[in-house]
Parts: sequence; structure tokens; C-alpha cells
Amino acid sequence: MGTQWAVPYICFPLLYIAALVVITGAIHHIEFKFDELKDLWRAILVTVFSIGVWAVAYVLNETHEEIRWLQVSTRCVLLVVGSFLVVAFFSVSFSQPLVSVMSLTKKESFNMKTMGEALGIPDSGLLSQNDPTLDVDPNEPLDKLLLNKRFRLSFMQFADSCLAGESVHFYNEVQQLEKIPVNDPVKRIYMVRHIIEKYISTGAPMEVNISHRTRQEILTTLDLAHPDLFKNAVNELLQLMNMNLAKDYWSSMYFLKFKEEAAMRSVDHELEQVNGWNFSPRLSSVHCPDDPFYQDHISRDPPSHDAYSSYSRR
Amino acid sequence: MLDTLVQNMGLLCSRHKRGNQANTEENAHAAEIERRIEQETKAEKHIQKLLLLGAGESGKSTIFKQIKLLFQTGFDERELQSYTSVIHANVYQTIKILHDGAKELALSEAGSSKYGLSADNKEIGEKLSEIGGRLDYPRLTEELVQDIQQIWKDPAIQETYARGNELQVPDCADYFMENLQRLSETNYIPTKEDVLHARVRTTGVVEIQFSPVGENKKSGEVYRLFDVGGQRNERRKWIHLFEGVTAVIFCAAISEYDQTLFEDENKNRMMETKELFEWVLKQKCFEKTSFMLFLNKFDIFEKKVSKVPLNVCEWFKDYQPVATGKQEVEHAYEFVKKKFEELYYQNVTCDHQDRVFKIYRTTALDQKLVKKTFKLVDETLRRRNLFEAGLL
Repeated sequence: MGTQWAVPYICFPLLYIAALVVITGAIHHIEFKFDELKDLWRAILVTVFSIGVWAVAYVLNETHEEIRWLQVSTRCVLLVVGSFLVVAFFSVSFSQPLVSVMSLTKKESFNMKTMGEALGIPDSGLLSQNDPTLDVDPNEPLDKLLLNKRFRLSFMQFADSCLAGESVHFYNEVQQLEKIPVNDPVKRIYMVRHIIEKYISTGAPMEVNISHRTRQEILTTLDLAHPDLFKNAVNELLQLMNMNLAKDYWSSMYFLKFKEEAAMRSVDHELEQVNGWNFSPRLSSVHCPDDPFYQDHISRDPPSHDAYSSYSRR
Repeated sequence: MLDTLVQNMGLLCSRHKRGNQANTEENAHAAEIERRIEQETKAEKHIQKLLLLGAGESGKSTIFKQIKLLFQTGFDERELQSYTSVIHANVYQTIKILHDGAKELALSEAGSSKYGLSADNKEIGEKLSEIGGRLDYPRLTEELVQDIQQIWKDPAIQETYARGNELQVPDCADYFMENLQRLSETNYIPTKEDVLHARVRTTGVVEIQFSPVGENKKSGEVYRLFDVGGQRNERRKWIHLFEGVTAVIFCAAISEYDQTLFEDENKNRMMETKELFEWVLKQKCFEKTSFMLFLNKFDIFEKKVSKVPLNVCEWFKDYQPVATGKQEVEHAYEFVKKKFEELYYQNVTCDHQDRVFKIYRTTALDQKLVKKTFKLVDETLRRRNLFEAGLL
């Protein structure tokens, strides 16, 4: 290839960078929420750097075709820079959806169970052995009790069993959202959008029972990263759980099991026989998993079968 | 010698017994469980499944509570006491809704000063509204009651209450405001009446088993009644209960014709009930299910109809009032009833011809009326069973 082609070749990237700079300059007066402008400048810098590396390599390649080691080393440098860029891209949080899509198509085992896990929120998975147990006092307010993970899980199972699980699941995911630091708005927004899609928008797979006003407030918000976005909804739902589910929970099998486990954990003594049957007025004849309401799946267990089988297992 | 032999044998036996004791006990235990399961499944076949369906706040749970009171043990003192916090929450929430509603109305109708609270009450209002937004409410005290009473009497709040249909004011507001003094007593235990009035939004599914026992003889039928939440998000759960249903008790609050939905304030409640009833009627699983339509909240309807014309609702557009007073109420009720009847027959195809459809006028708060209605329902269902068995 003649040297007369080298000039237009180099001109293209230069034009590209110039265009980027001009556009960024044109919009610099807009006040972005998350400093996108700074990101843009940074991106231009990275582009300039990589194009510079490429241009140098290209020119050296063209001019010194006879030096072998130069040919090899320029190509090596290009490769290394390229791989650095790829690694950098995947470590930035905005590439998260792409990563999850890729891992989904590749292998099932990469499938994350919850959005919290996918976003790498600490402590978002299921229970671990060293979570603290607690002595549950039914007189304590529910919102305090639910902060304990073990209790929350037991309560969630109970709520699922009476087809009212969405409130607890929602509470759980909002708790995970709270764990994301406020200075990581990108991550927060992913989580918030996930929660809205799953629980808030009309017709969502696990839509929660909240008032029109609260729902509208969330759906029309201008600031998705606002720390109190779900406060009203959580309040309403805690109220709902408190009035509805809490009372029945204390007389359910799930609470008995929970207490038993707690006793087993604190003292490793032989657990006393709990002669409890399911006194709760909640569902006994209909058992169906409530993850997110498998409508076609109606299992017809005999009534109170749960109570019986757990009884006989002891 | 024979004696010793017998003794030895006895010893042998007992020793053998002791060794196996644990085992046999376990076996007996297992057998006992087996037997109980079998018994339950057998009994299960005779149990009739009833579903309470209807839109939000149509009175399903009130009917449910009534059944508990009428045909079961009712509420013991602990249960009654657990309603104290619910009732107090109802009071605080009502005040919050009215206070915030008045503020909004004052803003949107800047011209009129109708919704402006007096200076004193503004402060009290803010305080109570703050309490109403909290998660755990304080117990009602004498002091708080005085504040609440004062603000309740404020003309602006009363004016707002008159427009309660645009806000989501619970129906129990009036009742609890009248009884405030009693609610705040230190040794207050909710009465049956209070519990029936208390408003709790149901979520999930609740069930109860009962057998309507008459004054002199048992009816013999055992029913299992399911209560569900009525808001849109709750309805997707209903489908889990739709199999093998003897009868659906569909509650429609006929007083809601000028109100909007809790979950969607752009939608008239009566229109929602109409669509919902149509949807339920069309369900494939209900081909042989009887339908008991409870036109509920007649007490509120009675009071409302003279103030708010029926034709504010799109469905009742062609309603023409004819008279005044009691006659008018009857006329309006008959009109609504006819509308529902028409709706039913529009949605019935030849597949459903042998199902029973009855309409009842109810006030879920009225214990005697509910008892009477349930006796009628019970009778209808038993007659139907006999008919199915070919005895009638």
C-alpha cells in the first residue's frame, strides 16, 4: 500500500475524535444527573489514547517493513491494549446486563438467582449458617423482626404458603437495595428498575397491593436513585402484613418450626416434642409455590398434609 | 411348678415386649396418622367449597367475620384485643386521608376557602397527619382524642368528608369517629360491632370451615369458605382456588357507584365490579358452580341514593329517579338488581344452564340479615345437591 493512503487513513480517526469533542462541547452546559459529561470526556481521552497507539503502530509497520522484531512487537502491543480495554469494559457496572445476557445464553449455571446477586450486593443470597438467630417476641413490631434474616425467611415461607408472598419478597429486595451505597447510582438504578418491573408496575409478575397514589409516585419519579423512593410503599405493605399476616403467623407451623430451629441452634439439646398442629386459619388444602404465581400449577395435596408429614418425621 | 412356668412365660413375654416397645409404639403412631389422613380425605369429599369473590372493599371479609361469629366459636378476648391496634390505625389513617385531602382540595380549588383549616387546627392536623404516616401508631389517648375530635368537627374537614368518594376514606370513618371516647379508654376491648367495622385490606387467602347449625337441628352440610383479597394484584391468586367450587358468593358493594378504585383512581368501582363479575362468570371451571350474588352495603346505599343520583355511574346512565324517600331507594335498588341480572344472563351460554343464580340484598354488618341470608344459601345448596343426586 502506498504512503498516499496513509494520510486519509489517519484522518478518519482524527475526524472521529474531533466530532466527539465538538458534540461533547456542544452539550457541556446541560447539567447531567450523574456527571455523564465527565464520563464523556474520559471516554474521549481513552479513545485518543488507543487511536494514538494504533496510529503509531500502523506508521511504524508501514515505514519499517523490513525490521522483523518491530513487526511482531507492534502487533503485540496492539493486542495487549485491546485486551486491557475489554477487561476494563466488563468491570464497569454499566456492562452488567450484557454480561448477564451472555452468561445466560452460555450456561444455565451462571444464572443468578436474584438481581441482588447479579449486582453483587453483599449478603444478598440465601441464608448462611452464621446468621444470628433471635429470640422472637411476638409483641415486637414486625419491621424490627423482619430485619433478622432468619425470621424474614421463615415469614416469607409462611406468606408464600398463603399466597401473600409478594409483599415479603418486595421488602426483601428493597432491603438489598438499601445495601447499595448511595454513591453508586448506576447500580442502584438497575436494582430500582428491576424492583419496579417485578413488583410495582401494573400487571407486574408479583405486583404488590399498594394504593394508586403510592404507585403513581414511584412510576412518575424523576429520580430513580432517590433513597426514599420506596419508603411509602414499604410502609403500606408493612402495615398490610402487620394487620393481615402477622397474627396468623404466630399460630402457624412456620413459627413453630422457626422456634424449634432457634432452640436447636442456641442449645444443642434434644428438642422437645412440639405437639402443635396448624391452627392458623390460612390455607391448608391448597398448596402451591408462590414464585411468581405459577398459574398452571395447582397441586392437590391432601389437607394439612404438611402438618402430618412433619409430625411423623420426628 | 405350673405357677413358676407361667411366671417365667410372663417374664419372657414382658421382656420381649419391652424390647419391641419403641418399635410398636412407632408403628401405632404411624397407623394412627394413616388413619387420620384417611378420615380427613373421606370427610373432605363431603365438604362443600365456597368462594367469596368481589372487588376490593366489597365486604368479603366482613361476611367472613360474620360467619366466624355465627357458626364458629367467634372471637375470644385475645382476638378482640388484637383488633385494638387495627381500629386505632383506622382512626389515624382516616384523619390523615381527610387532612391531606383537604390540603389538596384547597390547592386545586384556589378560589374557595372551603377547604382551608383554621389556624389552630392546622397545627393539630399536621401533627395527626404525621402520626398517620408512621409505621406504629401510638395508643389513642384522651389528649389525642380531643385533638381528633376538634379537627373532625372543623368545617373544612367535614366539607372534605362530604367529598370522601374522591378520596379513599374507609366506610368505617363515621362509626369510629362517633365512638372515639370509648376507643380511647385504657381498658378498651373492641366489641363485636367494632371488629366488624374494622377495615383490614386482605392479602392472600384465608379459609374457615363451618357448618350452619340451626336452632333445633344440624343442617349436616359442612362448608369450607375461602376469603381472598379483592384488589387487582390479588385476583391473580384466585385461580388457585377455582377447582371444585360448589358456590361462588360474589360480593358487590352497591354503594360504590360514585367511588374510584383503591389501586387505580381513574376507574369507577362499579364499572370494575361489572367487568369482574363478567370475568368470573365466563370461567370454565365454574360451569356447574352456583352463583350467589350479594348486593352488599345496602345501608350505605340507602343513605347515598337520595344525595348522589345513581346515574353518575356510566353503567346506570339510563336511570330515571321516580319518587323520593323510601320508595326511591327501593326503585333504585331494583334498578341495580335488574342490571346485574341482565349482566348474568348475557354471560350465560347453554353450557351453564343448570347452574343456580340467586341475588340477595345484604348489609354485611347486620348479623341477623347475614344469618338469614346464609340459611337461604344453605337451603338452596342442599336442594341443589338433592337434585343432582336425582332425588328431586
